[in-house]
Amino acid sequence: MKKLNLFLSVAFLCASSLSFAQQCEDCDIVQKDALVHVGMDNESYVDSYGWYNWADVNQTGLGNLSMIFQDGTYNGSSVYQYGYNNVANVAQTGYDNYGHINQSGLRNSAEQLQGQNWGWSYYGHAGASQYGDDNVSFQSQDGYWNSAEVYQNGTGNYAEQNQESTGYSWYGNNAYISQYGDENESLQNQMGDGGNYASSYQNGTGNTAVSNQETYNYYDYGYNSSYINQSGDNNLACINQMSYGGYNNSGINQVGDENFASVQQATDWGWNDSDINQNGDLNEACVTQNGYGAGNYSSVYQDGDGNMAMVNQWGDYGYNNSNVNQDGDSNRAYVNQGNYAGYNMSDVYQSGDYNYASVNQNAEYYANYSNVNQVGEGNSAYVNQNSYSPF
Amino acid sequence: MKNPHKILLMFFTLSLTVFSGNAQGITDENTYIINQYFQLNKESSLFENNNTPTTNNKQAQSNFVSLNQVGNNNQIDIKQKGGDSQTVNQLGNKNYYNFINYYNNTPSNFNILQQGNANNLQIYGENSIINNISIVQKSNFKTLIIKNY
Repeated sequence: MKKLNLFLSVAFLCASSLSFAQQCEDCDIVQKDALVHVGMDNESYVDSYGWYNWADVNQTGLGNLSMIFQDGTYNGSSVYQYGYNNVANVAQTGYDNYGHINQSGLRNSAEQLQGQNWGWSYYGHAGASQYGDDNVSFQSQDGYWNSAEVYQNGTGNYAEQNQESTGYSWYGNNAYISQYGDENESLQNQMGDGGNYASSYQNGTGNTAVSNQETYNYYDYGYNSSYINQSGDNNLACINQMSYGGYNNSGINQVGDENFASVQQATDWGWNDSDINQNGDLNEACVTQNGYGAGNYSSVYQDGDGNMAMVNQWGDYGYNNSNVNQDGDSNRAYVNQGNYAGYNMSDVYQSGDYNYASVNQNAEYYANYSNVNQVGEGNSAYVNQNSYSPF
Repeated sequence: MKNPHKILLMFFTLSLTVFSGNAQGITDENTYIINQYFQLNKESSLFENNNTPTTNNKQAQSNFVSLNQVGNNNQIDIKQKGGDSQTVNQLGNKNYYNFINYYNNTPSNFNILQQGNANNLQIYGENSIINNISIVQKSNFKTLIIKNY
């Protein structure tokens, strides 16, 4: 019966929203691979085992190669490469290791693996700094309490970070990416038992940032937290989060025109929280949240003309709470909420001309609350509420 | 000699009849004033309920809508299933309000204010769905249609 009711709820909301069908885009990111070294100049190989090993590599020229392998505790490495088509590869395993790659030039490749096929990494730090165009950076970490950081300055750069936490790792992993320039791409994938934290900052035009997070234990410390800040035009930001016992928390800030932000969150026993702020014209924000035991909360603020916000929330025993605030002309807001034993609450505030608000709510055994405020000319408000319960 | 009990019973019945007649006369003189007093209190209570629904009224509803439109050419379309409570304010020209309630046997509470020219209000639903309703239209070219089937 419950499944039938949920099916009816979904069918109701789908049918309701079909008349105002609005498609949300997705972040189209093209994954790149680390460059293959083509020997033209210097090559360096370092293998070290034990405690307190440190490796320094400095290379200048074309087609340099640096490979470092360290196994033990308190090991560190530092690689500096200047020129074109350089390749740096660092692999570390053990406890409290440190690695950093610094590259200047074009088409350089930096790859750091901590843990991975050689065991786990704990309290490790991997960092990469790249100056120039068409550079790629890969950083992968297994274990817990690891951190990875990438800084790229140029055009057409690509940064990818993969982290997986294991065991009783409530400390989790942290990942940071900063990119300055145009047409850059950043991808962060985090999963595991512990908490995940990711942060991306992009400054330029046509950049794309994607963050995927998943925790799979039933304790509340299995949380996901991701933030993306973008400054410029035509940028894309997508955050996908899934948790079982912990919460999902995300924040996207975009300053510029024709930006796009998408958040998808799902949890069993935790709660979902999404905040999107867009400042500029013709921006789009899409939020999809699915919660079972706790609640969903979404906040979208758009300042500018011609913006669009779409919020879809589904709940079972928690609450759905959506807040859309649009300040400008010709804005559109779509809110779809479905719940089983929790309540739906929607607030839409639009200030400007020719605004449009559509709210569809379905509550099986609780109540629907809709609040729409429109200030300006030619506003339109559509509210569709459905409740099977007299309460 | 007559039975003294019968004499006492006749005297008591006569006294009661005379007292009742006097009492009825006093009530007739004050009926209009008393009814006006309670009627005013009743209307005041209804007015307060329309503007500020009590907790009991809210708990009886399952859908709540609050809509404020300030500007020209506004439009509102509401479709609901289940009991509801609405507070709608449309301040501007050419406002339009349309409400359809279907498959519902729970009374609804309305508090609707349309202030502006060419307002239009249409409410469609089943019989006995409206409990407390307050509709105020302050404008020219007003239209009000309420149909309960």
